[in-house]
Amino acid sequence: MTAQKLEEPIRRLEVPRLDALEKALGETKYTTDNVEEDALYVRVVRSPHPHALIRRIDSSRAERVPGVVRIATARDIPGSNYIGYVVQDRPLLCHDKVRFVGDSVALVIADTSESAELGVQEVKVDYEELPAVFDPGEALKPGAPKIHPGGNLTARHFVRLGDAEEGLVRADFVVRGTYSTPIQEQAYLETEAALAYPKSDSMVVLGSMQNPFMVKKAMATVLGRAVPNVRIIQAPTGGGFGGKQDAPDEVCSMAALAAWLTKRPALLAFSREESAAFHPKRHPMIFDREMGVSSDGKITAVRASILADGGAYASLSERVLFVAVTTAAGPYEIPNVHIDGTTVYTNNVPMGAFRGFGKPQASFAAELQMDEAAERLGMDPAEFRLRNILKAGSTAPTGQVLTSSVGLEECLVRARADSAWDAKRRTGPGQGEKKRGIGMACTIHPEGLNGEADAATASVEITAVGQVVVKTGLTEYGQGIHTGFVHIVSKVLGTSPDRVSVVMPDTDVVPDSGPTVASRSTVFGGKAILLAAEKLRGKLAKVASEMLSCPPEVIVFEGDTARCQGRDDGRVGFEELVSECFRRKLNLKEEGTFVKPLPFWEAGHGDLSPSYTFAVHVAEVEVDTETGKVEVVNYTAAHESGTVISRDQFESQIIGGVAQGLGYALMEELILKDGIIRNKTFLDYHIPTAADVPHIRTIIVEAPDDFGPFGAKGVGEAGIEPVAAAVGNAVYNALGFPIRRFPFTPERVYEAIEERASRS
Amino acid sequence: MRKVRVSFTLNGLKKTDEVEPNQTLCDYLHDVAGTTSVKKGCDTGECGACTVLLDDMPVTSCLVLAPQVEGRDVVTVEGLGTKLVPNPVQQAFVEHDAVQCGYCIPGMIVTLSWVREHVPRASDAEIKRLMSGNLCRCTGYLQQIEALKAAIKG
Ligand code: FES
Ligand code: FES
Repeated sequence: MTAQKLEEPIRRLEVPRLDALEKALGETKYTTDNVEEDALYVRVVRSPHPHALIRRIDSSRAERVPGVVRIATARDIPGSNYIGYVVQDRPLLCHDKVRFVGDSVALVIADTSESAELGVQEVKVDYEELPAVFDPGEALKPGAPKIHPGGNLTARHFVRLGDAEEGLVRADFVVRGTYSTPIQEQAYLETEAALAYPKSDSMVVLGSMQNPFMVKKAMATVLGRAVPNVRIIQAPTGGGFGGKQDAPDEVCSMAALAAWLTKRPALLAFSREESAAFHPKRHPMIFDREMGVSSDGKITAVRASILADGGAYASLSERVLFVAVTTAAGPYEIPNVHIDGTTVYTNNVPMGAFRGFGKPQASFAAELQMDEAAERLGMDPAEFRLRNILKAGSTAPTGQVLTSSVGLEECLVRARADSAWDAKRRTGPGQGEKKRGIGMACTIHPEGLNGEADAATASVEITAVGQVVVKTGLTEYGQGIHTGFVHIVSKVLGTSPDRVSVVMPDTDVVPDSGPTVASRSTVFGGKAILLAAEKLRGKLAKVASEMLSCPPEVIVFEGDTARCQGRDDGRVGFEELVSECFRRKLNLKEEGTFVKPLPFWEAGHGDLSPSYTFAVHVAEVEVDTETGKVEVVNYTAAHESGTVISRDQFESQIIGGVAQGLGYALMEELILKDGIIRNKTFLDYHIPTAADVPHIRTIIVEAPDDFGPFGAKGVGEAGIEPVAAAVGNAVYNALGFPIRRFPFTPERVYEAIEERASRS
Repeated sequence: MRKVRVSFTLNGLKKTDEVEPNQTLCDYLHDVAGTTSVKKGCDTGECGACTVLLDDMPVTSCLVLAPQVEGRDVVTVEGLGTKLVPNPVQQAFVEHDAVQCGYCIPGMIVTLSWVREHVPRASDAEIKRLMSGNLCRCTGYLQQIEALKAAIKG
């Protein structure tokens, strides 16, 4: 190691996002922008039934539609038909039965998308309808229609700490409630798309995705031995938010199957309705929750059971449930915890990964109940939280002693001050029809893949002309992660950021860095890159030390030069130094790997991650009691994510997350009736417009720990996690009673006010 | 179906083409004319990703049929600026970190460039109303509004 201290935080660099200008000019080529004339168009025949046996598929009429080249069914799949992230329970094309409205049955491959669409209408599928089940509670009852051979239970998880029964008995009072959360649709602006090119012995697919190496695995499964090599290239991707975690496995595999069968390039691009019908969404969950509190404001116990509707296929339900269960007690010191969670199959659209991954749901139940307890105590909710909040050294409700940095308290204190919390709580809701309210919520976010081992590999290479090239499988889909990697490398090597570039992920070119999910890219990818760059710096320092005649330990890299610390005379330019290395035939390519070992988790307690991030949000609302309309008028988001690599992008992630969270809190709810989605388009599934987003004040609390690069932690998800809860508590404060389900649409809020009035 | 002949101006250049009578302007611009900045997020006029200027008015091109542009003037984001000379809104978007996944961005910049030109004194509330036909799922809009205001100030 050189003497140069690298642990100091990187301050706001004037590096704009690498891809911003190109995107602003309209030059960026997303998947469907690359279609060439000879490409075929693929459309999917989908099930109109939530649960039915397939008796026969008759494609003879469809085959005669002008322009239709071929129809593909499960029988045409050369490898295995079954794929899936956790459990391989999802057929690429259903052959014996369908399990939700929108399930894929056949592909129509045609010269134009119009012909393909006509072909879809002519594929006749003979179904025998089966009884279906849409309610997760019903699905577990004996005699419920069995959706998968093994029954309808997808997974269970639990947390056990201390003795919850005893803790509840010892409490001075217990608050109880049932809380439920809606289905949220990712609604990325770019729908799923994949373009497959057949080559003589391989298949190349360009697509919109988060995880090229997962797609590769799925495609290799589907194509089997028929295609020895598959190569996946991530196209610029128009949003993901978790929705493009596993859905692209199928979309890309379908395009590849079409290309393999026809020996021509094939494009599969979903319409907005298909996108809504197809990809896994945010789980709706029901929490039955009770919390014991002592009269001095300490939480004595939490007991909860969680029921999640996972829809027709497993997707990531089991993982999402684990996260919900392990964060359900909230970021508080609670000696006695008893949480049980169950996720089940139903004949609804599948649920899976969505930014926050179980935490927005868990936080809603926990944080609303915190305010209910505070009311019973007659204590300010901020004060009540402060009495119980996790600090460095605390034991988390999962039993883990937190040894890394915990900036939660500072987040709370600063959010409270900056939002003028105390004054506003004192002023109260006011007398008129429009009531004001202010509410708070906290979140805890374990770093990396939850309860799993995690690892990332990346490489950094310096070319003969002094360009630095970073290769990683971690994908950019709007987070700005590649720009973050440039910051890290240029800091380590002391070069200007424009020297550094990041290769677009291509499975033939970049190493597998694990999935781009769970806010793990900065921490895991960033650290792998940092390690690789440090190895390179070590090599460069050795050569520089000989050129400058001072020991390698005192070589300092900055401003595209290397010099000896404390000496002003000699310095060598970065390019000259690199040329010298090349003259000496030194290999300037290094790999770095960062590993998080398998955390200890047994019998319902253990470690989730070596490091956690935290946030405290404060929402201020105005509720029109005549109409039920809730308007968020002010918002404060305080986040602790270790050291901040780029302040601009950090704030952008938070603001974007809060905006999505406000949609979740106020207007977004996918409505299913007998398995049919009623609101698939933006006309009836509303997401926030510019007019719906209030001023958002961001507060950055820096509490570096030694886990991620330069002490950084992840930030991608935390922004959305406490939003529904903060808004819920603000509505509670305005109305004087909690509404335990959301979104807080005018109808729901109005009904709650009416019901309350009729009861009293 | 018989193709229809249309003559119009695209990003300042005269253009004559044979188009399908039922093809949307969005599909024509993206699939045929090579202006791939015109994005499709819904195809039903709700997301604004396909926004272009038609006779200097922002329209969602998925709700316009290609033959309707006969004799008219069409501008896409490609016609607003270049790498060397980006327009002020494009430049400000880069400087204010207003771009994330980028999919909404061409349409958003078309709309906001029009706002800058025609309603430079718009209040915050008016700006929000004027951009509410353009959905962005990533940014939360705030940096985009800041960027527009900076571009207006110049
Ligand atoms: S694609 Fe035209 S408005 Fe969405
Ligand atoms: S930047 Fe992704 S939709 Fe706007």
